[in-house]
Amino acid sequence: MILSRTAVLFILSLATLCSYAQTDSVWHKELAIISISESIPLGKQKTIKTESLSGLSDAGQGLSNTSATYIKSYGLGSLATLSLWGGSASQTLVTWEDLPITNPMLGLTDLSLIPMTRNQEVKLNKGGASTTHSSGALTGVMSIHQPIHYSDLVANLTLDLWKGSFGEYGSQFNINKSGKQFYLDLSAFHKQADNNFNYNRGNQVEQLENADFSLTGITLTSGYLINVQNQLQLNLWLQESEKGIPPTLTQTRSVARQEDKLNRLKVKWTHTNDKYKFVSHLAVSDEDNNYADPQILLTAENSFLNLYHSSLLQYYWAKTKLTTKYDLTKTKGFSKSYDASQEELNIFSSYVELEHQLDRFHLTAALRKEWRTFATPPITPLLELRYTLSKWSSSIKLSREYRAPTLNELYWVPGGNKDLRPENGWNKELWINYRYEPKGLAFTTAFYHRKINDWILWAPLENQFIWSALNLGAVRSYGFDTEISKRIRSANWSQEFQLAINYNRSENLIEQRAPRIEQGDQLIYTPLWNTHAGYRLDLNKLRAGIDLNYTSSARGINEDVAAFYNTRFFIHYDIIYKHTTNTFSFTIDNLLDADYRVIERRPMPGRQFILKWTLNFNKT
Amino acid sequence: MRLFTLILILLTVELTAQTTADFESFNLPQDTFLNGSDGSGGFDDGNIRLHNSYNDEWDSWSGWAISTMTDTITPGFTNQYSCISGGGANDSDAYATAFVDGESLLHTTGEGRGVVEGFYINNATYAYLSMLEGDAFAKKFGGVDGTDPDYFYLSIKEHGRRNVNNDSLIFYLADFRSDNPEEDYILNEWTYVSLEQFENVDTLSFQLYTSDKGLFGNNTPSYFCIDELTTTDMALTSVKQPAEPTIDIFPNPTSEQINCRAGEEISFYSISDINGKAIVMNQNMNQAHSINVSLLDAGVYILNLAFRNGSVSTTKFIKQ
Repeated sequence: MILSRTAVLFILSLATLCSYAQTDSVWHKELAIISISESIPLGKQKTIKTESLSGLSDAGQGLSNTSATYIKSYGLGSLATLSLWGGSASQTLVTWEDLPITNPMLGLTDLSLIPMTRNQEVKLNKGGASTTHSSGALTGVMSIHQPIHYSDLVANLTLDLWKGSFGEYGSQFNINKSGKQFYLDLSAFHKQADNNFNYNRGNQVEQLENADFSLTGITLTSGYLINVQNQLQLNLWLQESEKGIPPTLTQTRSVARQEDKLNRLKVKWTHTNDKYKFVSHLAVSDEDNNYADPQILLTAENSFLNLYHSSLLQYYWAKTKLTTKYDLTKTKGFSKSYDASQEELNIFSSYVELEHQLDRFHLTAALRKEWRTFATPPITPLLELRYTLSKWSSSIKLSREYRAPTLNELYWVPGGNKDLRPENGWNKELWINYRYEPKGLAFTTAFYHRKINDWILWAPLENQFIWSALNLGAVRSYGFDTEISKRIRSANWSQEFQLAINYNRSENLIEQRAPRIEQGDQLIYTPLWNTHAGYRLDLNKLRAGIDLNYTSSARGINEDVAAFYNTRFFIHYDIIYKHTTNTFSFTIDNLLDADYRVIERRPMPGRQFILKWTLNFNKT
Repeated sequence: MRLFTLILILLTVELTAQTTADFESFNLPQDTFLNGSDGSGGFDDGNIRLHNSYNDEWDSWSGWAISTMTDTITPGFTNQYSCISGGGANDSDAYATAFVDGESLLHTTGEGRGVVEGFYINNATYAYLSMLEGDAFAKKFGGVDGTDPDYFYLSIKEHGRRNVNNDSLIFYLADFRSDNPEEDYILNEWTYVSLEQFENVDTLSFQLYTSDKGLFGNNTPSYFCIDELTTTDMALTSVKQPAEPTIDIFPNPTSEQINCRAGEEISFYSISDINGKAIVMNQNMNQAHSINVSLLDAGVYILNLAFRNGSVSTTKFIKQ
């Protein structure tokens, strides 16, 4: 028996030699964990109650409302992308239950299409993560995850109904049932909105047109605890959405529309014992992204099929942990704009990580190597040393970062460039953390410096009008990210304050002709400052909060985007009767009715309201 | 004396005869276009050659296209070949559409090659509707209240046989700079442009300038259309065909630069790869007659030279 187990271990270790860890790594900095919650996301691994705030918020709204994170939003229901620490949207990897879901064709994720369903968490790990999370994680990882809890038999039925400004309404039904060996969570949701808000255009007030948005979907998370050592998990995410593309301020009208469909299925097997842990994932996703503008006779129908498999093995002995992992991704992209109508991207990725605890020191060393179609990524090492002293901890990290070109950057006609090199460079971080739970005080700050070469940029070719993906320049980014929070509790109430400040300098190091960027210029759409201040009051049945966000001015393509404030207020009230809880929520976004833009020529809404009723039936 | 007078009159008529490039000789069916996909590098009509650069890999073009497109209502680049009048000048079918990337060039050719007298010009539908209504990238001219002093003009420069004239003729395709809103306009009718101010024009370069531009250059689509381009012919008896000059380039193979030695003055050069794909287009030759090729990948290239006397020549070189 011992021989048999040893053989299995040996085979597994070979199979997973040189691989990587994701959520199992301990060193990640979870700066913000948001969920549909009234809590302020802060600090590392904060546990948050999951309760919807304002209808069915998307991940972009959630992050921009409750943290100092820069979300490039093109408007209500429109494209929203995440920029971390002065990076571009394609430099942050997005995962769902450890499955990378960053669009392999576009190289980015539209956060407006990620609804934050009940019981789901969105975690934000800032900092270089190419080694731990593969290509595209240059500046961090946003992971969508639903925790599974096995407990005594608990059943929850929840219905959310809401109505908001600009024709928004929607509903969400959730059933959550768990036992000692099983867990089931099913959410079905629908929301739609006209988003036909008024905005200022010159001296005129106009109403936005063709900005409607609708989204319908189902998410399923189920777990089965076969025995103490083995667990199976199944995740399903089906979704359809449709949105109008509203006119820019330079357009008089737009009839463009976009439809997105996704089907994602994932199975996970976890085996654990006191010596090792083995996790294997198998996933398939099928996604469509169709854009049509009848006005200019343009259609762009794109889709991809993605198969994903990974296995992770962790050994524990004494104060050391060895993690190995491999990932296998096979993607077929279909587009009329590809020369061969379909293109294939194969990625094999391997990772090895060693962690060792020595008194107050914790050392993490990791290596990663990828083999992929049309790119030869370098080996990316990572080294981190953490020192813990009572309530304080600090760490330094050095890592190599890279991002391989996307399918569109390689194959799109016209402009795709099969000879593109991956973006690559080095990242350095210094973290200082303080947490004193009895006093409810927490402090986190990070300083970073990153230089990325072969920055991929779509730019006009010299003497041709064609835009092509080129390795043009180098960019140096540095700054700091600080959060501090204080919670005060008494028997009947609690209060929480938070302040977050994020400074990002991201400068071009090599002069560019098109677009015209001088050496030393701050990159476009990269504000220097993002700040967030929040306050929460919890009087048991009544909860309220206010958020204030500030974003400094940013350089645009045609004009600078002015600095702006965004303020949000919400209040909840519970009426509890036996096993039933009625919660009435009222939210005001853009409380001060500020006229602002995030992207030039893209109007943003003024003050808006959402009224929501939640009926929850709970039985233990 | 009478005989002498008659001969003189005949000779004068022959000397002042004109040829018009109206692009009808391409015999294009209605709503079609030629965008250089045959790799010819340009279009010849009358005594005119219009230069074109076509990218076979990406099915894209710049320079000139020949069109009989009639679509005056579809905005956007999918309708990039159409003229806003729905046809050529004077109710003709065919016309030439320019997509100006930096500059578009034409020059006179053929046995009767002479000087360019003038041509008709109009806005392309893509540019016109963009200025009229705005689009996702470019503004509506005049702005929301119509008071923005926007403009979109064509700068035409002559390149005579013997010298380059840096004076330019400015033609406004749209002009909203007037204090009187009634004077604001976006051209939508064929309008004649006389090149009388130039002398001995045998090569013209066209550049577009707009008030609406950003980091990526012009936001206004860089398109316009021309038709019925008239050249004054030279008398055949007096035309001396320019001999193709002998050229010598060295070093060849090269790693840094090539030097050109020719019997005629070189006006422009372009470089294409062995498949005909343009790498460098229509650059002015410097005084040293040297071309820096250090940024080119190793391989075989074709150097195209255009001379002041109107002749052209090609030769191969190897970049190490």
